[in-house]
Amino acid sequence: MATIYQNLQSLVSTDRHFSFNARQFVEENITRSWTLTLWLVILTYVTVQFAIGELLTEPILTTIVLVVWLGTVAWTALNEVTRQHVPVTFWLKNNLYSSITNVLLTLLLTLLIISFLRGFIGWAVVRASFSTNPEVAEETLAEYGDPGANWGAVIDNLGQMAIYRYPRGEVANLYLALALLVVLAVPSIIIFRSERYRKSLLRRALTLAWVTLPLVVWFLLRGIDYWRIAAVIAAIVVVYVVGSAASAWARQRGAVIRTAASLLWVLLAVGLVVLTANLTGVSDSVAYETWGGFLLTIVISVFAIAVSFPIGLVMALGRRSTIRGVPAWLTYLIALGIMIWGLLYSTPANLEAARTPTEQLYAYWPLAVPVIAFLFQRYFAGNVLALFSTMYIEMVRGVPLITVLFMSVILFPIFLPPGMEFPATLRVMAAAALFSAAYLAENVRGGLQSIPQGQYEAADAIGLSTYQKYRLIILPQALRAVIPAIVGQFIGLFKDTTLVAIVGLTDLLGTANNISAQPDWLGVRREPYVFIAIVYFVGSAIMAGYSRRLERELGVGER
Amino acid sequence: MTEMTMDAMTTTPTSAVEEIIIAEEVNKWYGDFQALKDLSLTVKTGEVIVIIGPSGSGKSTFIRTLNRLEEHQEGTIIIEGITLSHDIRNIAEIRRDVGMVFQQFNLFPHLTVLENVTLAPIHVRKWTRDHAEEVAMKWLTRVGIPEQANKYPGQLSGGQQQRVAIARALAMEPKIMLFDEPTSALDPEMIKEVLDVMRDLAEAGYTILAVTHEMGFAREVADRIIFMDAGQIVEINTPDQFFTNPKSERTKLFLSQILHH
Repeated sequence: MATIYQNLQSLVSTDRHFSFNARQFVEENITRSWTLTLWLVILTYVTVQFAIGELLTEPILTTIVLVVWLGTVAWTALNEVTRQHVPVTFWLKNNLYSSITNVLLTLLLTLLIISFLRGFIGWAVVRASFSTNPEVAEETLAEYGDPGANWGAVIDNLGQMAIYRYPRGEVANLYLALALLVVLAVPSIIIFRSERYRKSLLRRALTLAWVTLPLVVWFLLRGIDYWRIAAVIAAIVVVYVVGSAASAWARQRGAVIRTAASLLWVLLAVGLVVLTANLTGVSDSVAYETWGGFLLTIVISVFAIAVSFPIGLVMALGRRSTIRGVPAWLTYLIALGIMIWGLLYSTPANLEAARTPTEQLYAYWPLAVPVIAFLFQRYFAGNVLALFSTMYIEMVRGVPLITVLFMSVILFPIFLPPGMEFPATLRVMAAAALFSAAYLAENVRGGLQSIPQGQYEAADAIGLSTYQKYRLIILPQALRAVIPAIVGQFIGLFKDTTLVAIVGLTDLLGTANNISAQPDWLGVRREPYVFIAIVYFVGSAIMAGYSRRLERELGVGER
Repeated sequence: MTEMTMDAMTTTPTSAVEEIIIAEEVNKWYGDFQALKDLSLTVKTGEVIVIIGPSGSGKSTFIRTLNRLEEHQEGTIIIEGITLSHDIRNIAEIRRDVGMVFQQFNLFPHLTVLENVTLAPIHVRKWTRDHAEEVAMKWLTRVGIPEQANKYPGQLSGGQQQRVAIARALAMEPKIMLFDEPTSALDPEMIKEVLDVMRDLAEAGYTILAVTHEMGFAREVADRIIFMDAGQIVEINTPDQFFTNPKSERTKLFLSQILHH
């Protein structure tokens, strides 16, 4: 150690003050405890072994890495002992070379990453075939002893993975839907962010357009004639304009006129629904069964996210509601009534039919009714809203998503009246939305619980109604607190859509699975999986990034 | 209050009724614990009442029953001729006319100071935004912090936050102001700025009920001082009489404890 020290000293100019206590350094960083020494020995051994292996397989690159590593370590060490750091060595010291362990780990990880990248690039690019002609691909791959990726299988099936069996003649509809989205998104970025447009007509029109968009996209996906879609849009605009004009006029009038205006709204909305159903029910040029691939993944995710949010919100509020419950006497009266009715009319017949002691026991179910009534009063104080929200949330949370999907596809049709059909795609979409809603409700409830009591009291004291209190004060704060949790849940939902493969729908994963069964690309599995992994990662990363931006933007005021 | 404008000073709350608060035989229980016992009090328009007493004596509970943040189980409370009941419309009407300031300020942290103050006027009084902002700036000027209008509550000091809370209550143009220990959560040097605003309101003719431990303020500003203990009113007296010649032994004991520590 002493000789190295002297050699180092001879390297530096004399005006640098040198102070380095070798013994203290060794005591502090190597022999402080026997576990540390053992760890360093193991780490050094692994690093050296790996470096030697890499030197043999990839001499030039590894040598460069080693030289750079040695050089920067020496430079940093030198500047450290002379206390003469330049910005680069200061950064290196703080981030990469802060201890002997980190010095070694830096080298080991660099070599590992290079090794992995080399392997992956070799497989994915250098030794790969990009030809969509299976014969050419086979020839290309045969040239290598260790053949790489057969990307032709993915390229050839991009259309399949994107839209599966969606009729190719109707693809223009998908482009139109995408174009609508872009056309609305671009001005929205400006108009919804600027104070100037706060109550402008433009902003209202845009909001209406956004509300209408899901319906229009839905129609486009179903391949419904453009003139019918135009008719529905026209109807929505008419309903909105007439309805809001009527309520604006009624606002300054008496209670009777205001009620009449609300009634008009309801009538118009019902008319709209009837009209929509009539206009669209007749023409289904695109069957639900043709939806698949990435299209299906997106449709299910977006639908489930959009629908589960309001349902989850309502359920979270419901579970926490403190509305005046059903009074105890009424609960017990009803329970008593049901019990007596059951004992008189249900139990004797069931006892008659019972074949086992267990079935005989079941026949006395009315006796359980008062117990349930007692529990309802005891734990929910007669609050029906809280009861149903809690029951729904806990039931859904107690069941795996796969079970819910199976139920929606296999069990649900049994309850439908005969002759009525409900496409599996729609059932799965509804199941995913309802499943997600239960989890969302719990996330939102967590946010609601984080709001101090004082906020509720202040909102009450300045005279806000309950609705205003939640919309203006409680929910903006509660939802902001749980953005990370909610977005995390939505990312999970996006990836959980792969489970629909189990109930016979073909989503992105399903289409990727199908490729290996095609005669042209028999047995090609790895490439499609790598490809869809990237697609899922990009999708999730976009959501995560948006969540971070949202948090940052809404974070003002918490400083 | 150097920033006070003459315009602001002219806004004097008026009420049609002379006895603005009437509480009769009010009882309230938390489970088995009786928080308020047969509490009766009549307050005239423009009167400044300071309520003092040991902690747990029901002072806060009492003023919180006046705008129905707490529900009383027995007795009658009449505010401005409206009887408090379960009827939501009654409660809403009373809350419009009763402003409240809390110990912990309870400003809305996600809204700017100006939005905090204009929120209720816009959504409850249905004023236009421009009018509400104009009025809000008037009140922010009156409490001395117009320059903080576009900041968020978290960026203000405790005293400034409490003054925003007072402006928020005043923006609804209430006839009664309730103060629930408004200075208890403040650093000593910030107490004065809040008490100055309260003194200003008292002089402007507001009906004020304040729970506070600031004896100097009570002595100087109050028309009547109420001493509460164990959920009951022990003594109602003028400030002079209260501090120099209290009627009850319990009051004497309390005063000796807080004045000679």
